[in-house]
Amino acid sequence: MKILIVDDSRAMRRIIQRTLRQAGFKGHDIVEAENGVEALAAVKSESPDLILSDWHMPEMNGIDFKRALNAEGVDTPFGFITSESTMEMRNLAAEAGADFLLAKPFTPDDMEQALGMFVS
Amino acid sequence: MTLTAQIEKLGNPPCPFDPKAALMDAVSSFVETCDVQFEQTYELTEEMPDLDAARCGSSISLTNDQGGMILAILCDQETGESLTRLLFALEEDEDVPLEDMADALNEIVNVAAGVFKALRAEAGQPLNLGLPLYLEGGNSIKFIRSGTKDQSRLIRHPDGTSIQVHLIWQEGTGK
Repeated sequence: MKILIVDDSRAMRRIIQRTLRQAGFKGHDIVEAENGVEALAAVKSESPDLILSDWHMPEMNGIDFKRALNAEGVDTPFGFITSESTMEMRNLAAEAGADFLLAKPFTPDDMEQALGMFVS
Repeated sequence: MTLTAQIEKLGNPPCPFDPKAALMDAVSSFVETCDVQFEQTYELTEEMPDLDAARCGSSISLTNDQGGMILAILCDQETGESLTRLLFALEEDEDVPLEDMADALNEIVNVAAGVFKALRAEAGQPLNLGLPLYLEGGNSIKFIRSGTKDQSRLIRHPDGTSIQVHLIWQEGTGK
C-alpha cells in the first residue's frame, strides 16, 4: 500500500511515519509532499492508496488540496492530520469528502482508530 | 514575518483576558504535546525561567477581533538539539542542522498552539492560529522584554533539560 503524507514540516512527516509503525501499519510505501501543490503532482505520479494531509500549509492548504482532488475526480481515501480541530474545520472536511480528521497531538491508538478501516 | 511584526499585529485588545489562566493553559498545552506526541514527560517547576539562558525557541501568534497574544517556547542550545534529535531520530553524535532545529521547535509550538487554542475557546477566548516563527540567538529573544508584557513558567524533563513557556501580549491588555 502506498501512503502519501502531506505536511510542510519534515519533523511532522517523520512523526507520522513513526506513529504509523507504532500503530502496527508497517511495510507500506511512503511518499511525501510539503504542500498541496506538490501533493497534487504526487497523486498524479505516484497514485497513492491513502492520503494523509495537514491543513495549514503554504502554496496550497489541505482543504484546497482536497477540493482540487475532488475537481479532478480523485476519490482516494483522504484524512486530515492537523493541529486544529474546530467544529468548523470538521464540517468543512466532511463537506469536502474527507474520511477523517485526526487532531495533533495523536497517539498510535488514535492513528489506529482513524486509519484502521483504510490500512491493513 | 519578524517577531516585531508579529507583536505589532497583536494590537491593543479591549477585551481583557486573564494572563495567569492563559499561561497555565499554555503550560498544559506544551506538557500534553510533549507527552502525547513526543513521549517526553515534562513537569511544571517553581523555578523562574532565565531569559539569558535561552538560545533558541519558537513563537506563534494567536489573534481574534479584539487582539491577541504570542505563545513562545525558549530553551538553551542543548535542549533545542536534544528535541531535534528526538523528532528526527538522529544519533547522539550527529550534528543538528539549523533547519532541522527550526522545523522541530516550530512544530512543537504549532501542535501545542492547537491544544492551547482549544483550551482558550473553552475559556471563552476564541483565537485564530498564526504560523510558527523560529527564534534564534539573543536579539530576537531579548526583544520579548521590550514593549510587551510577558509571563512565563519553566517545565523540566527528568533528564534535567528544561523549556521556558512564555505568553506575551501588548502593554495595556490583560487583567
